[in-house]
Amino acid sequence: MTTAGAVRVPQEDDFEARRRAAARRTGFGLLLVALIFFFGFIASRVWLSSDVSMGVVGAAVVVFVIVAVGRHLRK
Amino acid sequence: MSSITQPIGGHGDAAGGHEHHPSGIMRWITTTNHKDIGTMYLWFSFTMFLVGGVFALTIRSELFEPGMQILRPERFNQLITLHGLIMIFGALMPGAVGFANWMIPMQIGAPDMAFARMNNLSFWLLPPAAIMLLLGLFVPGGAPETGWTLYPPLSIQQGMGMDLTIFAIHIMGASSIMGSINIITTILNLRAPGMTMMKMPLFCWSWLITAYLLIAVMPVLAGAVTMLLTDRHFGTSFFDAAGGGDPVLFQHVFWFFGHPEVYIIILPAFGLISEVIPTFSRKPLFGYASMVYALCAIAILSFLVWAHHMFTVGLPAAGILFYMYATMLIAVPTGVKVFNWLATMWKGSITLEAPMLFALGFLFLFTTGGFTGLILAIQPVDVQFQDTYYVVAHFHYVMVAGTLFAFFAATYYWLPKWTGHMYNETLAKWHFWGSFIFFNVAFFPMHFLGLAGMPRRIPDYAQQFTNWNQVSTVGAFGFGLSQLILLYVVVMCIRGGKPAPAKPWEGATSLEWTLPSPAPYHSFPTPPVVQ
Repeated sequence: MTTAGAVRVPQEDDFEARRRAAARRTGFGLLLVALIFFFGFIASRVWLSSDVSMGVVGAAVVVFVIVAVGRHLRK
Repeated sequence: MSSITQPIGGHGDAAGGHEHHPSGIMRWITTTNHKDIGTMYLWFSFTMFLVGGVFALTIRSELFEPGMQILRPERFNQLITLHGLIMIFGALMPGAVGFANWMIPMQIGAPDMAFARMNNLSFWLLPPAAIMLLLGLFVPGGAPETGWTLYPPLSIQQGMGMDLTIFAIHIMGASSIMGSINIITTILNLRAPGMTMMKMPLFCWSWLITAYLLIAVMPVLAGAVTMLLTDRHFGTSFFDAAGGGDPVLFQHVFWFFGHPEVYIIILPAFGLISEVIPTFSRKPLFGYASMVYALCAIAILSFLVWAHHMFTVGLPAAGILFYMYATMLIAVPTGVKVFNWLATMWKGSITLEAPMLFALGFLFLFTTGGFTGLILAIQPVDVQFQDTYYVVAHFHYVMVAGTLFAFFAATYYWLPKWTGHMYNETLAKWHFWGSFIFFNVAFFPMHFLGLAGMPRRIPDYAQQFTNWNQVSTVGAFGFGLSQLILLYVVVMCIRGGKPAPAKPWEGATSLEWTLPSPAPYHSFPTPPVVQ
């Protein structure tokens, strides 16, 4: 990082701030997923037939779990 | 798993100048400390375990003899419902979250949970929800008589207690989702430098996957019970056949949540056992990577088998075959885990302290429950056993001997770290043997009762079932009384005892054992470096 042309060594505060920002992003992302599943499930049942709504929500949930869990296995 | 660590600043600094916190009741109400919140979760879980246990003993007392003795049939059914809901949502899930709160930050070298205030809120939502659940007993019509599955049409016809139950499930669900967000965020963002995912203790892995499962299924359950609520009060007909709704859809939705829920409860237990067995075998966990992959496989497969709970509703033949084989498939990753635990012990320098005894008890009894699960997975057999005591025996072998025994193992394992004192090993072993023997006395005869055709959730039974019911009731009381030993051991350990060293177990390797005992109020203010 540079400030007024000088090289500034990253401070612990920067590290903490980045970590907090990353935590907020993860947290909001997960909250969004939970809200989408909650309202999406009700909406799908209102607008779609039983079979289709179960299929859509079921597939979405399974894909979420596969992607969410699977991406950590590569690390 | 990480084993060699170098905390920056040394252990002593972990506590230095950071031990100030409010005292008295305000400490517990306002705390954002993961250890305090973990403690509150664990005490809440134990309290609910006792409440649910008293309900279970009341049920078993009624079943001691045929005929109606102490309960009216509707009250019997209400206690069945509350026993299930309290044990699952009040005892087992909060218990697992309690262990997660206490241990995950310490195991990954984090100073606390990522969202400390939300952590406080997610705990304090639970007591009002539990009160709301129990309040159902005192309102007109009483608590729901539906069983914990809340199937319509009965759940649509029930009194006000059903509304209280639905709101309680909403609140507990919100608490679980907040807890899960916190756990995932903490694990993904607050790991110490060098603590890669594949170096994490398996307990953290098990909770990471569990938390994803919770985020996936809890909103679906919340949606389903919300629709139940609108069916009851706002004239909708999602599940009400009288208005063109589909009651079987509720069963699908409920079990789409309910089956992963079984794994939500058992996966953290797998994680706990994976900590205890290597420690007391003095060997690293056999097949760490395969354990992680097995956890993932179980989590994903848990979404594909829900209809094995519904083999008698009239599924198409192709569906029956799919769910039958998919259910059997879960035995493969579960078998991998059991094999790895056994291989960890193989040629290990095993000692049988209380945590290891409970871990071995878990291994033996959970595997028994797993085998009866395989039997129930076979549809033609399941049709015969549907709603009999065989099913009750099966899921108690999984839930009680599985999860609860793992909780007991973990409690004794980490008590020295939590309290700074060694517990009374003799009494802890008494607790194990009391629990192990009386658990089998209580639940093994239920296999015979189920095979003979005794239906569950019925307060009366035919004369020929009397003997095994009496044995089962005696076992249930023995098991319940054995838990008082745990209470005594824990209280005595908190009050004093032989001081515990930082690492009381020779074979323990994870980060929490680098901290002094008891663990300082704020641990790892500076992240340790994992080599």
